[in-house]
Amino acid sequence: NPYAGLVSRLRAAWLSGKTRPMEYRVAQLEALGRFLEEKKQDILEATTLDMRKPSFETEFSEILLCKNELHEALNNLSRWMKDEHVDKNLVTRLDSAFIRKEPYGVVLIIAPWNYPVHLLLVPLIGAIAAGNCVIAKPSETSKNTERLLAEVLSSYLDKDCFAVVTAGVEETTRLLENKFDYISFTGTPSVGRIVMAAAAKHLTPVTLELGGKNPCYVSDACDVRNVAQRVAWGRFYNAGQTCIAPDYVLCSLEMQEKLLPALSKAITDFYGSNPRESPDFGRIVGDKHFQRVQALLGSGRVAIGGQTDAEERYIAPTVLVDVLPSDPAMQEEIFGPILPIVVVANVDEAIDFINSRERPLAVYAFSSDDKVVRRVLERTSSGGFCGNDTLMHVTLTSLPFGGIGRC
Amino acid sequence: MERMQQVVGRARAAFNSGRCRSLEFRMQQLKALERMVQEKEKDILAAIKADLHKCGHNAYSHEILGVLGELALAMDKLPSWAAPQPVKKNLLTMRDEAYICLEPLGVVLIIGAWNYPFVLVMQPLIGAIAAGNAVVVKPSEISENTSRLVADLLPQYLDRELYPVVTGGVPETTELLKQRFDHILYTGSSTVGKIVMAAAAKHLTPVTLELGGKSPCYIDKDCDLAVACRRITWGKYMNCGQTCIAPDYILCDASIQSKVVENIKATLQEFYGEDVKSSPDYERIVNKRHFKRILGLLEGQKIAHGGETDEASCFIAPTILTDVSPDSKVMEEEIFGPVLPILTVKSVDEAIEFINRREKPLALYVFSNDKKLIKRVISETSSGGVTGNDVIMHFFLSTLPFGGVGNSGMGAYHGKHSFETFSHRRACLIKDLKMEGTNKLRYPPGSQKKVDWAKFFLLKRFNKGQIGLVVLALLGLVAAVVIKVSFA
Repeated sequence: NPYAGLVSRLRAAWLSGKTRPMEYRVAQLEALGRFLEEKKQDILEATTLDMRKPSFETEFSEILLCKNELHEALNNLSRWMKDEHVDKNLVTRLDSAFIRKEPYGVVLIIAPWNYPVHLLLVPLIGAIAAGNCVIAKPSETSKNTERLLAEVLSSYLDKDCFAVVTAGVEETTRLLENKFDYISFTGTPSVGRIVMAAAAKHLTPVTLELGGKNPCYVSDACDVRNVAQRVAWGRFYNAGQTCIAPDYVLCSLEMQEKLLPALSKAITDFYGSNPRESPDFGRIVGDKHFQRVQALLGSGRVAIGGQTDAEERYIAPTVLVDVLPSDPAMQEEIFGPILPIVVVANVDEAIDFINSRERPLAVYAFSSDDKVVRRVLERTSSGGFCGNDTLMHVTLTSLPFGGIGRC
Repeated sequence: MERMQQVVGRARAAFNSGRCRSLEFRMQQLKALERMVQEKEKDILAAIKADLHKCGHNAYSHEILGVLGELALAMDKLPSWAAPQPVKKNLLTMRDEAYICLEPLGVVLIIGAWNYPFVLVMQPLIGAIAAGNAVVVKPSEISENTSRLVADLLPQYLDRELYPVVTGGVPETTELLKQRFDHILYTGSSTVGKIVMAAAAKHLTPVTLELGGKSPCYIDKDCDLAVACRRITWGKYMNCGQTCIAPDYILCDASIQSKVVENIKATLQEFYGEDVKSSPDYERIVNKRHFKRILGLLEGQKIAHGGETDEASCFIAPTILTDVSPDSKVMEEEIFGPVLPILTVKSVDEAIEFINRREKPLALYVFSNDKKLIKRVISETSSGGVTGNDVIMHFFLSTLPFGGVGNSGMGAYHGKHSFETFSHRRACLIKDLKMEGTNKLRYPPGSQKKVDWAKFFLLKRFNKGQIGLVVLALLGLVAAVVIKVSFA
């Protein structure tokens, strides 16, 4: 067991009680803040090398949103750590009754490649704030960021209590043989099952952030220009490699006809007439993923975009029409810059369509009629919901972020 | 075994019909459950008596009272529990609606245990129904009378498709666990807990595992021993020691060990009289297998009191062991019987160290007049729950979440915690299609100006008290207009 030594070292540090005082946690969190400040350039470079992540996006999702989370933790830590006194009954009237928040112990965080800094740092912030020791495993697919995190991030934190390990599939399997007190995993549902099965052997509680196909319903009553901008932004951000991206659109044929030119305009406004030359449009992370996404272009008919370049792993911002529910693009999470439009007659048909499939991580509904938005919200189930916009519900730290069922 | 697939399939279809979503429907089912408990009280007590040799008074206070309390609470609080919870907004979302919506998970599986066979299916069931789910109930086959009764009664009072009862042993449960559920709540041993979680992993089903462990009980030299021992005696020997949160073993200074024994003996006399075996208040071990298991734990031990057994009736007398070695068999597994080992420690430090060397227990007890000492033990150890200066009692306050940690389990329930366990907390953000101007700062093409504005909206923190929401709103409006103009 190659990681047994590391895990037992961290467990010993945990048992020493080092991570428990608030001052210690604050110091570690502040160190993370310094990492984000001082190593911003390195983060920008690494993510550019990994998937040509536009620096505009990196600033926002990898730096700003992480700082946001840090501020939230630092500003609220003392309140979060306090015992929560509960209402008492007649029998316990004279007693003291409270819920004590305690660290679990040694936490394992497994992060994915699409937002490689954010999706490692945000859980890490929570785990440190809660007083745990942590082993963090960044994704080997985003190699440059992996190296940065393993070599540089770990130097900002107390080596007794925190480690960043690099591991491929086999090493991760070995890592999961160890007993952890909590595991946080972000990735695909199939690997999620493997993680949970490994956790079951030690009765380790888990948080699994997986994925799914996030539907985006656009009603006939709406400001098409604004809808197109918000949907295009959400879909093509990070070249579509976002777990909460609007995966496909559901709308009437009428709306489709209005949406297509509006989407085309939005894409041009964002990325220019040739998105390949825009510094603000990303690339697919690896050849295997590129081939997978490229194959989905065969579904339906390309209405916008469709150009690809294997060498650059470039896939143009693409919209597909005439897509059937049985087409490949409608079978798996797309995780690429392709937006299929599936035609439905009305909102009820859209709702039925959504409910006949696995519950997604996010459901989006656009309408200037508040009742329509609410109808979609009430009659569907998903990790989260955003009305009249995409992605934005995850920027509000007071909202919990997570899935349900297989997402 | 196709039966399992059918039963679960029917429950899922019934859930998908949407009829258990309305609060009125849920209230109606809860009210029906309440009627069931009140009307069938005699039958319930009789079943528990047949399973555990438990007298009516004890069965009522252990199993029926709690259920009625939980039902009353759920019916009273349901509207407020089910209401959307608004959350704090930031500058960016000021004009929007942001809240957490509590939604049913779908089809929930509840696997009960045999030691409190009625309450351990009913209490989770109440929470799952209140949260709007369909529920498959699988009572423990070991407490067969209660299991049969639950299978008979629930369909008489509740919606038959939504809340089916499945009976059976290991093969039936294994088949049941192959089906897909949206949450599983299991009460039982850590060994089977692992099996349940592994089965759940195949479907990515979240689980609440109410397991067990050895709940330590530290008695400080500075405490009223008579009171402490009376309370410990009550908690240890109720249900013949077959309680997941019973004080499993005692840690105390050698100098008070014999006094502890004397006090417990005296209390036992008070509770059960001279001849424990003929006391109607003393239960029996549930079956021969557990009887033999507990008997095995007595081998080689110094019996300070008790030790009498009768296999035919699965009777084991309230027993106290002294000077027990930490390496003995009785200290390896959860006793789950009327055997109380006492281990001596030289100080509270040694007690804390001893406790921390072992798996995290479901409950931890500490008796002392010194509140600081109690606080210290709590801070330096971990367990599912704690009662200071008493035992068991944290279980009865429904505002406290009841559950384990580490080997003693994951997740919690009781009261509102049940409702939340069986609900999905869905994050909802509702914006409107206007005010597109502010969105421009996030759209490409990127620029340093846009990044700076994003910083302002996300990271600028205002002390709301000083500035006031109106000024904040004005600021947001001004910012939006400025952005619209500069990026138009």
